[in-house]
Amino acid sequence: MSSIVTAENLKYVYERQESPEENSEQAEEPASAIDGLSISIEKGSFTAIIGSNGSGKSTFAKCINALLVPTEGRVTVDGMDTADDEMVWDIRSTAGMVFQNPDNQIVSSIVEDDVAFGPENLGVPTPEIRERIDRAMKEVGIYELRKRAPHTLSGGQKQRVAIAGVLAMEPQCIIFDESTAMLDPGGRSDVMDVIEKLNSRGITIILITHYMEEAVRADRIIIMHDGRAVSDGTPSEIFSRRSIIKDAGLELPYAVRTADVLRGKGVPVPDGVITIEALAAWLADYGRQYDAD
Amino acid sequence: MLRDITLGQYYPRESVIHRLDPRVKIAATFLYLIMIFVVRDFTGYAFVTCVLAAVTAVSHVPVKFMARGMKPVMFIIVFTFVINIFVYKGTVLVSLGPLNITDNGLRQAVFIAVRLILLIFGTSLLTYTTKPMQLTDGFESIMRPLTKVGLPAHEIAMMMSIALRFIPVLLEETDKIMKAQQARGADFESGNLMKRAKSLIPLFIPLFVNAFRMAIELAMAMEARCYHGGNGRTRLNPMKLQKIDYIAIVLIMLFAAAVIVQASGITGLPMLWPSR
Repeated sequence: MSSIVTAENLKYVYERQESPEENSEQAEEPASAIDGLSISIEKGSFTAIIGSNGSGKSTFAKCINALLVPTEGRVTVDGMDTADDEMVWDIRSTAGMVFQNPDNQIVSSIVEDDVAFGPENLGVPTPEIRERIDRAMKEVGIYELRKRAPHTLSGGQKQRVAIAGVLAMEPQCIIFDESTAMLDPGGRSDVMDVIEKLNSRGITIILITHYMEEAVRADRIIIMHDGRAVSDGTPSEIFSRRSIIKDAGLELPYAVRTADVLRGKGVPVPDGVITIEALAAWLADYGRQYDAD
Repeated sequence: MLRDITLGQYYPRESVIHRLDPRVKIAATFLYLIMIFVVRDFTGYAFVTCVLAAVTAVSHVPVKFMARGMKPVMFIIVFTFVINIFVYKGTVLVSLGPLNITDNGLRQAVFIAVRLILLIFGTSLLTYTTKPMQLTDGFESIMRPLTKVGLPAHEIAMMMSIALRFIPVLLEETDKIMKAQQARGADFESGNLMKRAKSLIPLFIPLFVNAFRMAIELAMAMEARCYHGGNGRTRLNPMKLQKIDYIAIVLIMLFAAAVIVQASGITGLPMLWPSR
């Protein structure tokens, strides 16, 4: 498989303390937000990037989308260098981005107009815009809401509007920059379901999050700390490296913590059990065997 | 409580007037405004009123609803009426101490009051029958020729539509901040005007800060979705004149012609209480 996003020795330093982004996330570290990151992300994969505040994960997301240009090193999206001004619009329509705050990324007062915003900017002909937005809205399940005003929707619905808006640009890759952080549990699981659905039809997903329960649903997890990738592997590999996770200021997923407690009590939970569903299934099985014995 | 404020004045109905192209409605309203100033006597006003009543009837916007919209401007109308009635010289009708009501004053007062009422009724019909988004699109399209002389038509329309989009968001934000401040003992309701104005400072500062933060995030989100100004943009719903739009254009032209002919006096019909 070929890679869609690559970073080669990426460094990014915020210029002094001008951007408010920096104030909220980088206040304690005026140094480089990203300090020598080399990653390559496969086409069609589902990668989660986790890290505590100030780990540089959001900065990395903005570098992929060419919203930020590397101070040093190189980022390419489908072979296009993000430092190349000519390629900016191609890069952004190849790698779409969904942000954290659902309210601050919806432009129009009508849902379908907002979904059409991206294709309109790309100069897509009118009949095709209609086709694209209808398809996108059906795919994320907001077609029935298309005439509504965004402020009458719930957070999860608004975030799905934002996803539809990106989908209508027909990207190969979508970056979710903490897109579930401001949602209630219901909205969060709706958005996660949409993300998995999109991945299953071949769209590369880069999920930036600090919810471990979301990260375990990915194929691959990259842990970022102090602007570097400190660990990289499948979810079960990652969550067996307990000290790295602790050093990165992160918490283990609930299922892993529960499994640890159970192991302490003498229940032989295997290492690969990292989701609540898997743990529940294993425990049910174990319980049955236990009863049989 | 702040959430109850309705957005704009749009009154949703399925009428011919609602379906008209916003550009036609804007142009028609503009022409109507000019015509009101062309009118010189009360026969002219009677004609304009009849036309306005007919359009209102077709639009299905209830007159009661429109009259309610007049309340806030009632003060201005009464105020100008009172001023006008006393300042004009002429034959004294009633004398109230140093103030005299003259025939010219009375005529002028009634004339201006009618003019104001027709102005407000006519323009509000535009906002009652046109969605704010359509209005901004219409304005953009009408202003487009002026981009050649440096008027940023697309940018202005984009700003207007974003402002409309964020009114409810900012209201919610205000509500939130207000409650947060009240929870810490802030008092927005008592005291004299000065004190109340002062008490709003802790409300407005966080609101402004938030508004700027929102603007930065929105700008970034727009850029991420390939926004790069009005050049090369296509539209989901491009505006196209339909048959009813052409009919409306003809009708409004006829209306304007009728008003001009009547006001010029060439018809030979007597003027009803005209100004000198």
